[in-house]
Amino acid sequence: MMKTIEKIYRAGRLFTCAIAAMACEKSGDVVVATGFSDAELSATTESVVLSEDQKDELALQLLWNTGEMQLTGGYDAKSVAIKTTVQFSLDEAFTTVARSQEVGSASLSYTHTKFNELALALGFEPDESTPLYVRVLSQLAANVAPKYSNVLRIAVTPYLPLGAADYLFMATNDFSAFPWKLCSREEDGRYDGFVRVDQWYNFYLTSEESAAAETIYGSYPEDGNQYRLHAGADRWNLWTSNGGYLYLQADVNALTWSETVVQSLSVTGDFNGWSTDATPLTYDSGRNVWTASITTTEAEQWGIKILVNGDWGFFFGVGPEEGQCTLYRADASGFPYPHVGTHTLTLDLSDPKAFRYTVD
Amino acid sequence: MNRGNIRKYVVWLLGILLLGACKSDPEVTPEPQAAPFARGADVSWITEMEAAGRKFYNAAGVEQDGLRLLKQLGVNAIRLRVWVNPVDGWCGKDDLLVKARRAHSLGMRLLIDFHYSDTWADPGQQQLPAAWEGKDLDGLTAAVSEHTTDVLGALKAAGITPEWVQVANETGNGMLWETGKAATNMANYAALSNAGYDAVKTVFPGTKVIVHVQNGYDNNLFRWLFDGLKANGGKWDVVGMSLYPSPYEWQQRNEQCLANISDMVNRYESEVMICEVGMSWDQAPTAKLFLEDLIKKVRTLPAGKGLGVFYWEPQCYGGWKGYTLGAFDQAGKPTAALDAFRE
Repeated sequence: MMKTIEKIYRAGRLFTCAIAAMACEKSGDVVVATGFSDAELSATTESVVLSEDQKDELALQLLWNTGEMQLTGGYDAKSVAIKTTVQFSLDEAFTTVARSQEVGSASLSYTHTKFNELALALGFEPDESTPLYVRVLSQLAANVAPKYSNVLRIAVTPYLPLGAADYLFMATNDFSAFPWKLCSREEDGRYDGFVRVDQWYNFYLTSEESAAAETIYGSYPEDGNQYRLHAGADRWNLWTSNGGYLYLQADVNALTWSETVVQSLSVTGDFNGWSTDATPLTYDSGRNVWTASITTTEAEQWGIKILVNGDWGFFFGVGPEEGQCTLYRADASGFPYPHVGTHTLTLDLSDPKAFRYTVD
Repeated sequence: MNRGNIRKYVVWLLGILLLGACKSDPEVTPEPQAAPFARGADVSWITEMEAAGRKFYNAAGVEQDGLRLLKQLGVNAIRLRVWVNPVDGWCGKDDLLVKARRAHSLGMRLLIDFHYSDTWADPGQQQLPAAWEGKDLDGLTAAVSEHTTDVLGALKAAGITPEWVQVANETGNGMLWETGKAATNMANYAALSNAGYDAVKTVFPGTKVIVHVQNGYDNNLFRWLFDGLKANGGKWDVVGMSLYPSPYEWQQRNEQCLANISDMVNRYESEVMICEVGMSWDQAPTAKLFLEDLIKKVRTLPAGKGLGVFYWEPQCYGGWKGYTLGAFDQAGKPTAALDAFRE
């Protein structure tokens, strides 16, 4: 490894010398680095009224141009990366940056839901128009002063989402994404949910989908306390040594969390003689759902159950309404399955507020 | 060699580059030359993908802006579809402008693809935009003209000139059904298509107009459609084609496509653009052979009549919208198929 780095270093030094040597080889043939300029930021609207009815519709797009690093003389500048961060503030002078988001793309697009989440996380009152200020910070390297774009003012009217639930969001280590969430369905401080992550995944659990969330749980900053939640500034991140599809539980009263590796989900009922493993569900990573094909000759008189890890004490059974199933840790009924013939059962565990199934 | 040293070295390198300026070159007027071959990608889904949290990575696994990444892979032109009033806003005028400005700021050339619908227009459906329901032929030609002018005017206001504009999408059986269905009323189709053509030329006189038809291997279809257009005074500069062969038939399809292209060039003196291609993302080595062969065939047409080849939504991966003919792998990195686009 050291050898490789040494080689890269040497090659790079040679390359630099070559560029330097070529720079003024003949009159007028010079290498100039240009293009790192103040970003120009624009938005598709200056005022947006968000609405739950339009939740998946495009609400707002931010677009900036940080310039293209160019080296004259045909030299290749594509490895010179400009890092961009979009910053949001409640005041035009950016006295306090309320939210900061590193962005890899050259624009940001928000649906009504996503922009609403952002506005609520910043403390905006529902149904009131409040100005939000946005700017883009671009940085070439740690030693070069960052450049700021113009500041845009966007008047935002958020809405109070119906059926808002008590969630803990699973944040990536840099708070740039919140791909999974846990829910406390009873609002009793005990959260659970299903997630799919890589082995050694680092994360935090946050009370809002924001790096500025009021409460951010990490682990207790002392070896041997992986499963102890800690919200102090000295927290370490949380991590899982397992990875894969996991069932997570967090108890913010006891300040603990736990993980269970989901080895299998399988459907059981009269149709397969209540087998614990004859009809496994398959995970579809694109749609983030589990599916299984089921063939029945008559309606299931006791309904069906979906067992986690083949465990009769850990399964999805009858739910509060059609299309929903409940996760049980004790005996309970299956959920109704009146269909006859071959159908695809799809189980969606992405929102732990309600585990949903459909039959096609 | 530790990280501190690397950082110091990078600073030193930058310093040299930044201080290396001597004196700028005198202005040189370049020789006029034929436009370079378009190695293109249609990336219309990219903003929606980004909003859904999809990220794009280079071969080394470093996250990058998707457009910039494609440019680094050799893509020099971007195709973007535009719908009239799409339900969720994606691929509407605003979203089109965001993507067009991103491509433009990277110095990439543009092909704007008008569907004249609120949703997908293809051989299976050419639905009227909801706001155009009930219009007769005159009303529809006026609407085509107005919508085309509106969208292109917005691009012009942003300082962007598309090099090509495609009037309607995969119009093997015309556009804006039922009025513009080619099989039942070729004259209506020609009138609607011409309304788009004229609007393009009014806003951008130098921009080439493409009429785009599916199944680029099907010479009978192309002859039928373009003979019909021609007989009805239809106007176009470029014949556009789609080609989605299976991994087992691409050689035959490429040969058929080349024969069709040559026929279009000879029969109508048209230029030809391959507006859409694709092959299953998990067949990358075959896809690369397919693309290399197709690019070579189109590029070496006499008199530079072959303008370019566009891959359709190559940045799709991981089951995005159920589409599997992208050219990125499950981890969001480009597959070897895109090596065919390197200069």
